[in-house]
Amino acid sequence: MFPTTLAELPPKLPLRRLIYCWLLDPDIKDNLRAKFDRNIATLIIANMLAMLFEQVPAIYDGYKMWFHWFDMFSLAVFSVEYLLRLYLAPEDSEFSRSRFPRLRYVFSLYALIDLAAILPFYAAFFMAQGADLRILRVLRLMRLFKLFRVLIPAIQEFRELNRGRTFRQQVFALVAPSEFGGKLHSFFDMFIVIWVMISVIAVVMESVESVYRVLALEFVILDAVAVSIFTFEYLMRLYSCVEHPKFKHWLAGRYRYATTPTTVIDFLAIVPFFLEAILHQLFDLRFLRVFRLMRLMKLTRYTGATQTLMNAMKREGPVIGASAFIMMLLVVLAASLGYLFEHDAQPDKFENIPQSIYWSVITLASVGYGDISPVTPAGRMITVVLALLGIGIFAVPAAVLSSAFNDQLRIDRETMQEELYKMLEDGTISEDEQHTIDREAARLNLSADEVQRILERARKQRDADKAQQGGIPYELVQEKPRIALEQFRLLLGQMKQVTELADRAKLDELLARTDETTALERQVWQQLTIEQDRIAAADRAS
Amino acid sequence: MTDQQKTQRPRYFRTFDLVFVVFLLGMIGTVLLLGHHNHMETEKVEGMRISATKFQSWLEAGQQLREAGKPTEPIVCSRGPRKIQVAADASPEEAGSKAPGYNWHDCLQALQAPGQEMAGLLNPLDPSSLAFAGKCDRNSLPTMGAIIVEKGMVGISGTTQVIAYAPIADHDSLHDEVLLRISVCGRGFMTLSVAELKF
Repeated sequence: MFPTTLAELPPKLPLRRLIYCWLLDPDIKDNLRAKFDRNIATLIIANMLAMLFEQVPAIYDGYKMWFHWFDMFSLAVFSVEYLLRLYLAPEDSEFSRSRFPRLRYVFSLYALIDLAAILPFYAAFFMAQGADLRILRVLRLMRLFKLFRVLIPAIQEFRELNRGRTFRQQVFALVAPSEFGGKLHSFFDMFIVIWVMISVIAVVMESVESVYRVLALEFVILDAVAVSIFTFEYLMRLYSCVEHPKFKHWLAGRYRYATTPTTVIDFLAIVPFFLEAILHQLFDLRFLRVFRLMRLMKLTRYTGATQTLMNAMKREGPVIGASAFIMMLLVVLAASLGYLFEHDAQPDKFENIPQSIYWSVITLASVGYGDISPVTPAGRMITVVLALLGIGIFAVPAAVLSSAFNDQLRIDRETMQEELYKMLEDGTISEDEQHTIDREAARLNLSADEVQRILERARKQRDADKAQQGGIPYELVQEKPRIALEQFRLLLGQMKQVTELADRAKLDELLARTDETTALERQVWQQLTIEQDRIAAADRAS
Repeated sequence: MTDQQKTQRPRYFRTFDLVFVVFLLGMIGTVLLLGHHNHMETEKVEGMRISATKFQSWLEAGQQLREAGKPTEPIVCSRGPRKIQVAADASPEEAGSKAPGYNWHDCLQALQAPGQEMAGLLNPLDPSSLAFAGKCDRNSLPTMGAIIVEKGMVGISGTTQVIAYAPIADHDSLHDEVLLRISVCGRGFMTLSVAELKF
């Protein structure tokens, strides 16, 4: 049997096999393969960014050496990776059957891509002095193709999962979480998240004049690319949403989907670009630039934190509403009294009740800017009372919200534990179930240790319940023949034990009473005793 | 697979899907076209900012000459004689016309003449619009893309000294030293500041 975890690896494994198992073996679940691939992918993306920034003289000129050393570092890592894969090729089942596994690896698609990523650098050594090396710099873009090592398997998996499904269903699987999305859907999400971050950083940096002065044109290009990507995503979501049972109708469904909060955010993330491009000569649309920061809210689609907060607020709505009502009552009352006592003394500051409301809110919230302060003894007395009440009044909704948030998280975790309990009913966790666990863990911000603890708790609970029930639940026995067989074997084993341990003469006597036992019981007992006698005779003979 | 099964199975690609794909490509094309247009216009505004920086250099060099009591090139941008007193009720235009010294209008015009520092300067967004303006005014389209020249006036607000900027008027005299703010009126009437200096 092949090992599936590092713990199952046999001792004294040859070094090459050991390195392969630790770094590249796709069958070993807990090895460093995922981390290795992720780090290489990150380095490739960093390389792409470095290449882009190299085109900006204002950045490149100041940090030439940094760019150079980063390039050297990347090249060293990619070269080591190539050599390592070449060295380990005979261990890979894809090449090991070949007579010349390494040669086979060298001519495989991925190896050619890897080679193309590093070759331009080494080729420079063999080129004539004074040759134009710009082409080699362009060839560095080949490093981007290294991402195909991750992408191609994801695309293959996606095609496999979506075999026989329509174009629209496939688009839906790509953009929305479903069982058909696979890794490609995760990559799509990651791609959008990265672009949201880039775009938001660009919008923030644009407001820094010294940065904008240098990168004005680059910001325009970046914005156009970001909007293209977000438009593409928005349209794909809108087009394929009818695959979701909630938005089935081709027009009404799409309209309903378009008015959901997350889709409205998606729309607001792209619309400023169009308005600004078309209407900039007619209106002052500078405020739209700030609207581009709405793109940050696109991330709410990918995190459960906002949903948890909304659930908490919904649950504690009456309490929050009550405290808001008391707060409003107090604010208006204090403002009216402040106006009454202070208006004559400071008509410019306590000009009217709305202005006094500003003072009472600032006092109640313990902010106290000091731009409006009472001077009359009565006004000061009210301020003292208001400030003291403010501490309690503002603390109530804050505490309610915080405890509701904690409760919501606890409920979510308990729900997850229940889910895990159900998943463990068959004793194992399938790949799909693991995927669900990972997704839920990410949503609830749970670390691997916490997930393990919850899993352990669910397992213990399941074992305890099973022990209490005296076996496996009947539904499971009905649904899963293999589990039924195991249960049958278990019971048979127990019956054999009874036959061995019990006083046979007395039990024979009891079973002989036809009014107390059934024919089947007597028949099974007889069979078991015959079997036991046969085993005993065989033991004696040997 | 039977014929019945074949007919029951939904088609992979329908007419509506094609419409969507065409629309999607059209939208991406539109975004790229608008992006290209934005890029071109930003490039033009950046060009104007370079011109504004050139103008700033000229002002700095001119200031040194003015401080040394030497005439600047063109001569109409020199300090000139002190402005004569005019009647208190005279209109600004009248006051300007009676001033024997040089004024900003003539100076900026002369600067754009052939052979001068800002020769051939045109508004990059619309060559028929203004090259210099006093304000980035969203109610006035010709100011978009222009170099904005404003004069600063020092005032006191409470205990703090504040500088308020106002558009340079055509008839403003060049005799007295003023604090200038140079900027460019960018796309969407967004002011891109270039420099603040004395002249």
